[in-house]
Amino acid sequence: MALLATTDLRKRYGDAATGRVALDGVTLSVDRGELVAVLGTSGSGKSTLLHVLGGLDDSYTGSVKLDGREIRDLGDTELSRLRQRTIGFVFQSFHLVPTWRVRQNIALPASFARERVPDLERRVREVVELVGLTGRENDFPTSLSGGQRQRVAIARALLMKPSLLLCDEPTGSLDTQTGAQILELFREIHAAGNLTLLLITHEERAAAISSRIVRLEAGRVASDEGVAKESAA
Amino acid sequence: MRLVALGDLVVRDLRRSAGTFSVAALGIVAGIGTLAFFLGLGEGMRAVVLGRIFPIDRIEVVPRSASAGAVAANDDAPSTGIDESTVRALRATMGVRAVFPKLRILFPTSGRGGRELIGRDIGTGELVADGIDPALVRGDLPAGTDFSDPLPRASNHPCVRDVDCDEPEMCERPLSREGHPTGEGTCSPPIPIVISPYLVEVFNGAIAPAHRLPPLGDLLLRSAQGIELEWDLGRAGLGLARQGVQRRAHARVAGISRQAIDIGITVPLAVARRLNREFAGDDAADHYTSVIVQLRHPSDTAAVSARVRQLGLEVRTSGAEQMGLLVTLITLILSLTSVIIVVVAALNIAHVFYTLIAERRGELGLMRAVGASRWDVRALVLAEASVVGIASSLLGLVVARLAAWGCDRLAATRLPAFPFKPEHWFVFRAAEMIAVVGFGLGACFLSALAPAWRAARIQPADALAGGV
Repeated sequence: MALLATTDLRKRYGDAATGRVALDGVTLSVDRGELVAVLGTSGSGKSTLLHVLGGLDDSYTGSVKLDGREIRDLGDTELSRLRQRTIGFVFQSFHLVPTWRVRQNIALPASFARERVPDLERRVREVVELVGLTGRENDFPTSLSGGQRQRVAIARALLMKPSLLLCDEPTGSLDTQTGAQILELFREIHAAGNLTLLLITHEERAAAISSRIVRLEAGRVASDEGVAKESAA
Repeated sequence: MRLVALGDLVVRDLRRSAGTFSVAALGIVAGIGTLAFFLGLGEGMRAVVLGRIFPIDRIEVVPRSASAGAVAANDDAPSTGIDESTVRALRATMGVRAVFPKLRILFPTSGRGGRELIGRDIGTGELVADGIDPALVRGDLPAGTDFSDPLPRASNHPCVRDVDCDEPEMCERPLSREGHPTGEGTCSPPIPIVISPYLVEVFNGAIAPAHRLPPLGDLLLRSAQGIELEWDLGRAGLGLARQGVQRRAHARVAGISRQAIDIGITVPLAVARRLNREFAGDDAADHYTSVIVQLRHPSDTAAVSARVRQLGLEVRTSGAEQMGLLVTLITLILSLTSVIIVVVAALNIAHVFYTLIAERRGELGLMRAVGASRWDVRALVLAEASVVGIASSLLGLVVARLAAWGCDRLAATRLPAFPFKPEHWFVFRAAEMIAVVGFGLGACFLSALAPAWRAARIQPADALAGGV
């Protein structure tokens, strides 16, 4: 069963006369455990797709179902809970609060949980170890390199053990070598558990770690290839 | 979102923007500080004016002037006073805590004294005297002071001079036709009297300047206890008593009380009754001039006043209501100024929150992305505003208390002594202060409502485009 499914997803910025079409009838299905790279040039609608899939943007037409539930039908509280428990986000510009320590940034999603997150400190240590930042928990983001900051952001995304990780240009702000390390980290994370990973990127090298590549062009799905699956077969 | 997590985020945010919030909160501190200060001053003034000068929990009931009093109204008696049965009826009235009858001395008397205090005697051709229930002044007199009719304790030894009597008795001698003591008298203790602070004020304001005498200060007032007066009974400048033995008695000041008659001396009720019976007859002894009614609560005034009218009596207006209204009005005007300060400060806080929300747009978008609901965002902003409100209001209260303490000290050391000069000019009532803090909190909370709603409306996707 598909974890994520979109049907005829459309979104336009601005009005009909002067606006721009960002998504133009995207129909997509992502199975549980897949690692999908969504490739496309700048302006192809990749980030918009991620925002819509993650419930961060509700001004669209069409259907987005996560785990069989139409996310448009969810109330704000339910949608927030879904973002907290089911989806993890990793952004190009990290989005870390510079005045908070690494562990505080990572623990942020737990702040909005209705119930106390059991063993939060242990869980923070686990994800810090997973992303290779052990010993840097009390540092401030400003003292970390770009790659380390992205690792903090990944750790934050993994804290609540989501089933879907949505990554928007996660290597876009990093140099080639660091970007490669982050991609390798994603591969390891994906391999370690039953995590569905959607990598939105313009970098072709992301394809190397993906099991499937979806290419977007002008808001449409130009191609949808199951790379890793085919090569494995 | 759990409270602990909310608190943690609030503390982190407030720490981060401590400088901004401190400046914004200064207005609240100033507003709440002045509000608490003025309310405290108003309550202090009310306590003095209505508690000491015009006690609002007491009313004075007098015979209705038009109907010549309750007795006349009810019994067709010629007296203009209030009889014992009416006093009992008043005592049984709902809302009445206690009843204290007063009996005016209804025959001519005169007196002189004051040598111990100002170096020479001052005489008065007519001396007005009231008799009151000793219970009414007990709280104002020094502990152990005896304020009762001394006659039962008198030795009544024959005498012609004071030295013929044993302390503390003095010689009470008949007066000649010319008004001089003559012949043999009897030894008896001086009659205890209390005087009013008003009397002191009149002396300081009118008599002392006219006679180039020093004003009576606080120290002198305290030493007034024990001062003796010569009190000519049945004889005054305007005439003589129709009956009784005119004689020179002695009186001794037992203390100062606001319950005492303003101009004159106040003696125990039993003394007034005894002397009235001797010099003015039984009717003057058995019918009270007025009655002080102590209420259970000032709010009982209306009900008790109605009962007073039913009994054919009336309430003597003291000016308390007008003074209370004046104090309330002044407090209201000053408080209104403070409220305006708080409102302006709250608007400033709203502006600060709008600015901070704009600055933290990306951060709020991130919070929404990682699971914060719109209510979580609202709660965060409102909680921050509430903490700022409570902290600044409490600081305002501290500032008000310090300012009040400073004013009290200044008044104590720089202002000259005067009647009713309070030791403390401020009364900070707990309920009012809680309300003031609540007002500061409420102002900040309300000022943050619109920014909180705006923060909650931020679209995460748009906000995240701008970075954290």
